[in-house]
Amino acid sequence: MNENDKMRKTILLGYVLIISVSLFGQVGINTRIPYAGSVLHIDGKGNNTSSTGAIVAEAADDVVIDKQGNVGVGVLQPKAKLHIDTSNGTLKPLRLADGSQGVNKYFFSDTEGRGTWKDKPIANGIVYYSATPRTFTKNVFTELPVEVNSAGYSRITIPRAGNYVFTLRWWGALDALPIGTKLMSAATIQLCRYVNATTATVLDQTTYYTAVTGVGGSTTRFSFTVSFFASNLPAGYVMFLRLRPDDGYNWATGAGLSAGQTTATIYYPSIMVYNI
Amino acid sequence: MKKYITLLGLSLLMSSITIAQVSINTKNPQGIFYIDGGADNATTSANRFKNDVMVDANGSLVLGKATQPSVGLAKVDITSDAAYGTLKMVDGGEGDGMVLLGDANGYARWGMLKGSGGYKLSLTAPTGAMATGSFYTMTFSNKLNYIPITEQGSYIVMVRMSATYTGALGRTGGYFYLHKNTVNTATMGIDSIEMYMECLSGKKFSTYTVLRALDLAVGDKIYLVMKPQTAGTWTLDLSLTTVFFYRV
Repeated sequence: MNENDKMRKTILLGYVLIISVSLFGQVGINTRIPYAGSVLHIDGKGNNTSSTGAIVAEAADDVVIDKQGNVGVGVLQPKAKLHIDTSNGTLKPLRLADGSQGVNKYFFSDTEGRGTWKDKPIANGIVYYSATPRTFTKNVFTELPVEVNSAGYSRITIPRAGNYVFTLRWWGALDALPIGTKLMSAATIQLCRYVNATTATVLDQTTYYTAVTGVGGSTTRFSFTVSFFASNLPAGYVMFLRLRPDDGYNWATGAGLSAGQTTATIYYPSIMVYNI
Repeated sequence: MKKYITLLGLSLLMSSITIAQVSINTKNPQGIFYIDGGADNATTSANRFKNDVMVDANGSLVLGKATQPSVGLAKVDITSDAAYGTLKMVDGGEGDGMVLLGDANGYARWGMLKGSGGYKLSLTAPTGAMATGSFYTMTFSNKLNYIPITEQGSYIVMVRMSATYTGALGRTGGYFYLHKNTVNTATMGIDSIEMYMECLSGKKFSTYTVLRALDLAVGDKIYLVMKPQTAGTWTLDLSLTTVFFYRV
């Protein structure tokens, strides 16, 4: 560092101190008359003629930061944290290019309030049925099949990015509950994202309790409806529900049906999926 | 006193100097005002211009360009390599799937559209036993005892709950109400249902139902109220009690 550099540094430091202790200091860039209500005023074209009033056309090329820390672009008196005014120019107010931009996109928030461009939300919904008998062994998670209406998949594939509700309509039986015995059946049900054959991510879960009265055998049937939720699912995610009986009994679907009933989807659980 | 005048004088002097082009951290500025955030414009880093901020001669504010900017394509022109990297706006309405909306004066806000922005709320209260015949207003994980409405429209409130029942009957019943803006327990609210559940004393039961709130306005508040009715008390399992809220 030579002497000149040292000197320059010192002088700059001096200016910084002066600015920060001055009560009414405005810094003007490309203007001799920074707007009195600003702290920093950049006059793009250097065309402002007054420090006291905003002549709208003159402010169109200005950027200011005011005493509240509000940023004005094309306006000297910002009315929001970021206030953009293009009413006196041909430029559009805001361009946000993060690679997701495209025609007719909407700007979506995440949980933090950061945004990105996505397709216009379109409500979509489908019911996934099944006609596959299955035993849900007590204390073990077993996946609910959805082979009907999800051609080519044994699981649910998210058609469009969004927040989704998954509604399980359970129809099944509880095994070997003695006749007349009333039990609060319990199952933990998880909404999962299928990652690979050995990995699933649980996105929502609950334990659901339903009163069941035994009729003996394998036909102590009962039903209930309950929903699950997952937000910000990208298109193409593969999802499934799995269920673990927690009440000491095995659960079953497709049990005790007559030959004509075994292929009827109404006698099995179904899963409704829709974006919200 | 003397000191003050001197300082003020210097500061006025500062702002009365016409500075045509100001740069920070760089000797090679563009536009009228230029900040090289990373002080790396003299390097060969591929990302060296992405930390730069410029105001050009049109008064456009330009951030994050991959190449050295000379003019903005819009009044505020922000570029980022990553989704969710250009703009963050926190107004209380942010959330997964919320959409940027505007009002008559151009003020932007995050709001909910049909098919986007619906969310899940967990409950933090009531924590104790809920007595037969008493009304309980739910408190949500948003720290409010209501759901705020940020967008005119009609909404669904879906309730998934579990509670421990204590009582002599093997069956319980209870009311679920939605109230708008004030809880008036003398009324049935804007929607209500009585649900009956088979149960056993000392055991948990679950229920699931859907309520609707039509034609709400911005600023409305939606309260969810429960009242155990058919003899017995409920103690909510808050970890298993969830509300889904979305627009229809």
